[in-house]
Amino acid sequence: MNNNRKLSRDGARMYSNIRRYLGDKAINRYELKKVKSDVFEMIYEAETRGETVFNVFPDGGKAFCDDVVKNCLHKKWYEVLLEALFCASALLAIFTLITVLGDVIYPDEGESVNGMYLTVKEYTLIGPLTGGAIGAVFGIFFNRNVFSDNRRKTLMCVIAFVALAVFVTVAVIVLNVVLGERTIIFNWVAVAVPATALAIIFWSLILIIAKRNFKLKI
Amino acid sequence: MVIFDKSQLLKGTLEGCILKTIAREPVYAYGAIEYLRKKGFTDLTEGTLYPLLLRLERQKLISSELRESAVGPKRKYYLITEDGKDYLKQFELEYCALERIIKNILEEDDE
Repeated sequence: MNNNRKLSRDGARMYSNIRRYLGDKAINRYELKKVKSDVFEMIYEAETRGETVFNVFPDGGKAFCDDVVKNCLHKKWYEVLLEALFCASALLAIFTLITVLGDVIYPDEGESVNGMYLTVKEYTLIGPLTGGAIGAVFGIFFNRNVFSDNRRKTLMCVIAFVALAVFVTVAVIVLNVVLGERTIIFNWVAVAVPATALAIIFWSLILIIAKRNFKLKI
Repeated sequence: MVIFDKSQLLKGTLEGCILKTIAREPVYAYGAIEYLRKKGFTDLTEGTLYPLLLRLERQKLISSELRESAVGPKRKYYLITEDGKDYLKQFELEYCALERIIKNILEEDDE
């Protein structure tokens, strides 16, 4: 839709902030695509007329976004559930494949692969779990505070970082005590293949259902 | 002193005015703003109008389609639906009735 058209610096910043803020809300993905495209057109047209982005959103982007969220089509509970299942299966597939790949590149360190069998120390599972949690928390945190001033953003960043550091430390200690040096052995092909297949199926379902719900609205 | 919040008064009535604007002829967002500004809604911006258009579209009172524009890329034009026309008639009736009631009350207080 953008066709290489460019916004001014302020326009591009506002557009990016609106995209990030709305992207964090449970809005139907096709509705979100439509809204983003409409917002781009609004800002672009205003700039073509010689106005600025502040003429379009005099109350700021947050007020606009909150109004949009109130009035647009939201994800249904089963779409949210499907997204969670997609994330879980994709993470499992990625973790398994990375572990196998890691063993191929560095055969003498960490987990080992014996034919189709993968030996994993249980406490190392904290890696992908905390990695996923950190990514998700920071993503949500940044998107929700995208319209806040820099002081508040920095303060919230420090709070989020300390909370995560405490969480990771406690989790590592607990897992070390509970699990120790125990290992699990599993057939990695039997995990990676179904996990990848499930991730593809869940993603396809997400797109099909979101499109159907969006079309029902129109 | 509490300052009177005009936006609270506008809620609901602006929606009817937008429907009426679209009922006159299909318009794109900025076209509707220009028309409503001329009629007195001088503070109206795209940022205020767009969420309302989204709501009206969701309620199936209006629909939208892309049309060629002489000055650039295609524009999204809004059209009123049959449900929208019915809704607009109800709005006009209800608004006129409410206006009479409020006028009666305000004039009574002045006497």
